[in-house]
Amino acid sequence: MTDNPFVDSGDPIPLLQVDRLGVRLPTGRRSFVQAVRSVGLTVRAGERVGIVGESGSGKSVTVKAISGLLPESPLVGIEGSIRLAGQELVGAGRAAWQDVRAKRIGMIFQDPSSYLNPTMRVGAQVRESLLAGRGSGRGADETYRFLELAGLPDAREVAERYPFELSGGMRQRILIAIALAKQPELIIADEPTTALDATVQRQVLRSLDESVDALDTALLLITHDLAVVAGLCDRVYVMYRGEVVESGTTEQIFLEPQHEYTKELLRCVRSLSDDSTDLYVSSYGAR
Amino acid sequence: MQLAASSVSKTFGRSRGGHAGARKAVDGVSLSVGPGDFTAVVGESGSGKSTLARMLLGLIAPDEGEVTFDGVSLSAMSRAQLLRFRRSVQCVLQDPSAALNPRKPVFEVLAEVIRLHGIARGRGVREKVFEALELVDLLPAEQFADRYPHQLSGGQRQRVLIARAVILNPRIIIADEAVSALDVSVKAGILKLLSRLQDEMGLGYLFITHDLPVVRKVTKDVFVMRAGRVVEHASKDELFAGPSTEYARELLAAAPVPDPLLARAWIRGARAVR
Repeated sequence: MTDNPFVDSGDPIPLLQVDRLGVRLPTGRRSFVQAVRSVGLTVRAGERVGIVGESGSGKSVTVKAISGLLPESPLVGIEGSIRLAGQELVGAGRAAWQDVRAKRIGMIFQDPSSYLNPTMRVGAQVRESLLAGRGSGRGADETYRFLELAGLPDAREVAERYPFELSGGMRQRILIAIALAKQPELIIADEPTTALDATVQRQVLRSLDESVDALDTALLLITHDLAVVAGLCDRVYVMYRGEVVESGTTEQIFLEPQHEYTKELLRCVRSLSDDSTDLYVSSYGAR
Repeated sequence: MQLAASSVSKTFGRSRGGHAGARKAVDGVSLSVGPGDFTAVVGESGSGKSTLARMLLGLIAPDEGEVTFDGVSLSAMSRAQLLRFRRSVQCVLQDPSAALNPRKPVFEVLAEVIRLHGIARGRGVREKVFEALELVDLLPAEQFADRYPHQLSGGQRQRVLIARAVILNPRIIIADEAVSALDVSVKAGILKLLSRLQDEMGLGYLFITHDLPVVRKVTKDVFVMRAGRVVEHASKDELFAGPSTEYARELLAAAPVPDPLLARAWIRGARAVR
């Protein structure tokens, strides 16, 4: 699906506009897979948009393309358009991407351990992000502000800790603080709570919800978890095998799904979480 | 054919810093499981459930208490008894990509077990492999036998692991987060497979998970663990009708609901930071 029902001529330029995005990845010495196929999506300033999909849907590759994090290899093929506030990023040089990632897009990933420097106190890591970002704040107080915003109330104390001293949920909040400290226009969260226990997940999602509100940043949330999308997003894109198969407001997607895959996904999720002992087995799942 | 833990405890070395402190990983846990049971052990990270599983599989020894199978303590078993134990109690673990050797095709994964335990020889091995693949619905068996792990989807890899576990015709299977990493559209299929295998083979399961909604679907009996201890033990129906501990209630409330209105309230209702 390439048409974008949410952009009409009267709207200001959307914050993020992706059109006909295609990504081809190498799978061997001579083989390729079209991981993303003609994907279009829009995120407006202050909006919360979700991308939902299962393994192989292409959602993570899409997000990596949007953040400029695909491997720099001639074998990786990117086509289409990714515009951040009108600025075309496909084909943009490294400097342009670094500027985007430092100041305009904050990213929160699934596995904090891979993205936190184990040898640096977390407060310093937030500060690093703050200094490179868009804001003019420089002092320790600013650092504490973002830690608190991310849901860490004992900011002064936590700032002195090293990542290994913190629980999974707290490390995830540090990632949120780092992303917020840049004061980005857009926060991209890729499976931010998937690796966390259910009770912690709930709290971290609340921290994310409140901090995105407080800074009025746009949010692009990628997840396989329909419940997370239901709770945090205004609009949703459903991806399957590299394509967007359906998009709409959260209510539309949950209450009036159009595409067969969306309907199946909802049946599966609802069946797994309802009170009965029946289990709905999808034909999509016989793979 | 009961597999039982009697007041087992396990402590891992001294406190190594971090927030975990010097707690015992497992502290005085007793439970038992036998053929026909579908028992869940539910807990979050740090609850000790995986350590408990390892003790029940005889992979690590308890510091206190004992693990017995058919009344005999694992630590007192003769070689023959241990061999019988290993065939009777199998495991299916979470991370299919780590559990399968990426250089071995599915055929070898299963053939290895068959040969090791002398279940069949020569041409008989091939027959047994195909039988196992059919049992877990990986059809056509010939096609799947030739595939390598990276050529399989997550659900298919999990089926291979299940095939590997049931090939020896065990009495009990310990499944540790067996469906947690699977896509939602695939989970139900695997859970149904586990149920069917139980019906056909009379297996007993110890199903370890952090996923309460899944517990409701397939299990009969539930142990809730927290910080190394069992804090609640009830039948599945009793637990979901009304848990008796605050912690179990919290776990139930933490399960997300895929509905916009409810999910929003669920997020906003989260307690302040822990």
